Amino acid sequence: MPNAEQHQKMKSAPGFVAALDQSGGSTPKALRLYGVAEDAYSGDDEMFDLIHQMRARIALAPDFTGDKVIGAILFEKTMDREIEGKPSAQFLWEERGVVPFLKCDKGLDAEENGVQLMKPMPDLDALLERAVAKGIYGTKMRSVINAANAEGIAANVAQQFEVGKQIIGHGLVPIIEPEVTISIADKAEAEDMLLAEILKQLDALSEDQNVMLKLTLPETANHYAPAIAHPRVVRVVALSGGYSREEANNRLSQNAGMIASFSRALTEGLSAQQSDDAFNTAIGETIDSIYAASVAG
Amino acid sequence: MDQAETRSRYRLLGLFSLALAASLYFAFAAVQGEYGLFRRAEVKAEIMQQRLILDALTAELEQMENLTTRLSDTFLDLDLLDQQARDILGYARPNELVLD
Repeated sequence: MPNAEQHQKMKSAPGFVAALDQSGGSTPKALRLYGVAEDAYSGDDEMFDLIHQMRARIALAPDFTGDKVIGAILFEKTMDREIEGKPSAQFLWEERGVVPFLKCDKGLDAEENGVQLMKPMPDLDALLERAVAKGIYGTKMRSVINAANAEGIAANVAQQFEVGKQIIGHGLVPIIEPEVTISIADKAEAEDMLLAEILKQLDALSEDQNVMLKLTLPETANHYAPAIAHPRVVRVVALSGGYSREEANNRLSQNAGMIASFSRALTEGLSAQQSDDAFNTAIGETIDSIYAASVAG
Repeated sequence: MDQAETRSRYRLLGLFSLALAASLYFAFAAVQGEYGLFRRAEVKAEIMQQRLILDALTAELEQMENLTTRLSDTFLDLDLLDQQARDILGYARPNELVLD
């Protein structure tokens, strides 16, 4: 069973879910954005140590607390490391009141029927056992919808919920993220099909099976209200999918009950060369702006 | 019927033939010609096809713009970054099995 306190926080606390991470392949880019050039380190281990220091610095910022950042999505490598001598997930919850999630998918398959399903996850059970041991509350897994194709969308949502039940079996709460690409012409139609499939799957869940949903900001305001109100849904978080911050905030404010979950790195405007005060001020402003947008909805 | 009358009949017949020929020519041109009905139908079909191509290219452009925005320095979308690192660079984590 998920931690009751974390469960309650995710159900009703104001704030947003942040992504604290970036994947291995993108670490040089994230480091460069952070002001650490390639010549400042040698070898993967040193690289990952540097990026972890940045991550720890973010987690230690005064404003990075559960008051505004109610959840943080970690990659596996971060979950396995420590902050201030504690496993990252445990530190985030015990020291900062931030509910830790783990991104558990392993990338996307090729497009078929207008959607991209998740690649198989043969080691998921082993990963989830480690996650539970490290104090993770939930997981996040992403698939993509590129067209209003009924058959494809049904398969996409079915796979998400099938893996979701496997995750629930470990006592974790899955964030189900079927992302609708924002640039497609038939986005509204795809969102209608998506909502219908999601509600069908939610109705099939039993009383003790709960999920979270991460959905692209819809074309019509309050489109996902039935999912937000569904008893099996802990929370619905909004995915910007590429909308500018203003457009995303505007759409977010038109969707009551949806909170932000930006997978954009919180590293915008941060750099290794900044003093601690400047660093904390910069990240505080970022957090405040996203928080304001979240509670405005 | 003297020669003048015969000549005028020939002239009349000539004029009539000329008119008929011109009519036939213009009728043919109106249907088959460079700017005729058939050509118009062809051009219309071509326009429709070009529009479809334009729509497809516009959609592709918007998709590219979306991806570019989400991978720019000011908008680093981690999920997309993870996806592209895997798909384009072929990256996987040391403890991952890649099933293709």
